[in-house]
Amino acid sequence: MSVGVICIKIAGILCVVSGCAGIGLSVSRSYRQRYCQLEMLRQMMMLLRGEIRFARSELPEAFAHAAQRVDSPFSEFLNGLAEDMRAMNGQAFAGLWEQHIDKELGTTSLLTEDRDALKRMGSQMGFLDQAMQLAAIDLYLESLNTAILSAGQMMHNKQKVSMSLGILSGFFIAVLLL
Amino acid sequence: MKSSLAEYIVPEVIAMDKKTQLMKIFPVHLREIMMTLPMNFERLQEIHLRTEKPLMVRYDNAEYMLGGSGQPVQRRERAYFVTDKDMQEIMTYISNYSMYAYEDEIRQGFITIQGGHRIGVSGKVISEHGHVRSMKYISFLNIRLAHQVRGCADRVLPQLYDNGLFCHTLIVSPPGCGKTTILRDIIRQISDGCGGHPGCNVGVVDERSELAACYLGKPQNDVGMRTDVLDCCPKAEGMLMLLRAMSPQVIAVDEIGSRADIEALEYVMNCGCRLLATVHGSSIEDLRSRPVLCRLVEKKLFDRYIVLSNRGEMGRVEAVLDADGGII
Repeated sequence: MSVGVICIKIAGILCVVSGCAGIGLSVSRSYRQRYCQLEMLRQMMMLLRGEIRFARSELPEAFAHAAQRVDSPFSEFLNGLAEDMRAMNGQAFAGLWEQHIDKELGTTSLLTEDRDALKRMGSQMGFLDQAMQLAAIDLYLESLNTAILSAGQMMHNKQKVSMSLGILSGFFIAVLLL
Repeated sequence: MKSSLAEYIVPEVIAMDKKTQLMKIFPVHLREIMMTLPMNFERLQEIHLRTEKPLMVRYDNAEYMLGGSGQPVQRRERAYFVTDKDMQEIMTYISNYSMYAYEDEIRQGFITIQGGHRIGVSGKVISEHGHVRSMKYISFLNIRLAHQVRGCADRVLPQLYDNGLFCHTLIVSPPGCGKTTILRDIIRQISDGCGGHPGCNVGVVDERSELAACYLGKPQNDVGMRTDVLDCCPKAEGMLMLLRAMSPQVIAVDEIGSRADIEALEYVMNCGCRLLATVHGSSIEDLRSRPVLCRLVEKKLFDRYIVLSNRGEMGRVEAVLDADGGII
């Protein structure tokens, strides 16, 4: 085997290993991002709760206010929703809520189950009295807290596992190719 | 010279804008019916919606049933019948998807929406300890349209000043005769200045958001450039708050009636502030016969009474009276 072929093989192995390690890193980062986004979601719901509890703001106003205090993509989600609600195009709230979750939060690191829980929350907003509305938000916050806790606990382990798996699978593929 | 931007805008354009704004509270198919209504929006007074009953409007003091195409119909069978779903959707839009924000209003039986239109609601009342707690199965709505009629107070204004000072004035009128409209115009004119009288600071306690029709804190109606508005505030408390905080020369309130209102009103008058108010009634004699309000007349708290009626035309000024009930 010539030196050139060996060099090419080594370069190929390095590419495969670094590529797989990169995938592992990205997966591990998505766990971190999910955790941060769940935290942001909690902050968003707490802000909405405050707007409803203390200012008795209408939902479009509450969304617009909360949008100023949360980061992207939640700010876009809230602003878009507030804008569509003010337009009053004859759409039901739950539909608008779902539509904007898919549109603005569809590409986040939130899991499908996180988005589904958030979508279900939309069907419990707007038509209740204040006490019931706050109770519905509290219930969602409780389930969100549980999700954050388990995401936090899993995050470190899963980050390590996904990184290790990434690198190891890179080596495994390299061995197979050899 | 024209003093406000609104005066430059063609009235039809304003009416169209108001109409479009109001239409947003209706479901899409009802919007279509209302938009094709062959009526002048400025003369439309009320829209009545009752579940499983014909859609009705009051226009120029006459009542009409509306058909599915938006045309007035004579026969009940040809009218559009309001559905449960319509009601639910309307309540959603009226409350801006936020029923919890309107609990107090629903408890009182009405909601004021953007533009100052008052929507009376009726349904099954939920009581607690003998008090209204909430309402469910809302099946009856009465949308009373607010119209700002600039200059409708021109005729009475010269009689409301004495030696250059604005007199304590009470507008007496049965419901639906335009007392809020005339009150709004008086506020605007005394705030901006009129008939050679300089403008003065006016404080408005707008408990039902009908006078200034504030939306996100900003008045949607022109209530004058020296007017401060305390929106959605109980009258008695609001009058005292304005007095302490905004140094008003005139305080204006709509629909006084409770004992607390009268006490606050007397306090304000004793502080050197002029008062402009409205009350439900048909005459001064009518006020005299009512336990709380008779004190106003007997103690001659007001220098002027404007009596309105609906005879012949809406918001007809029957008389302007002095403190003794003599015609001026």
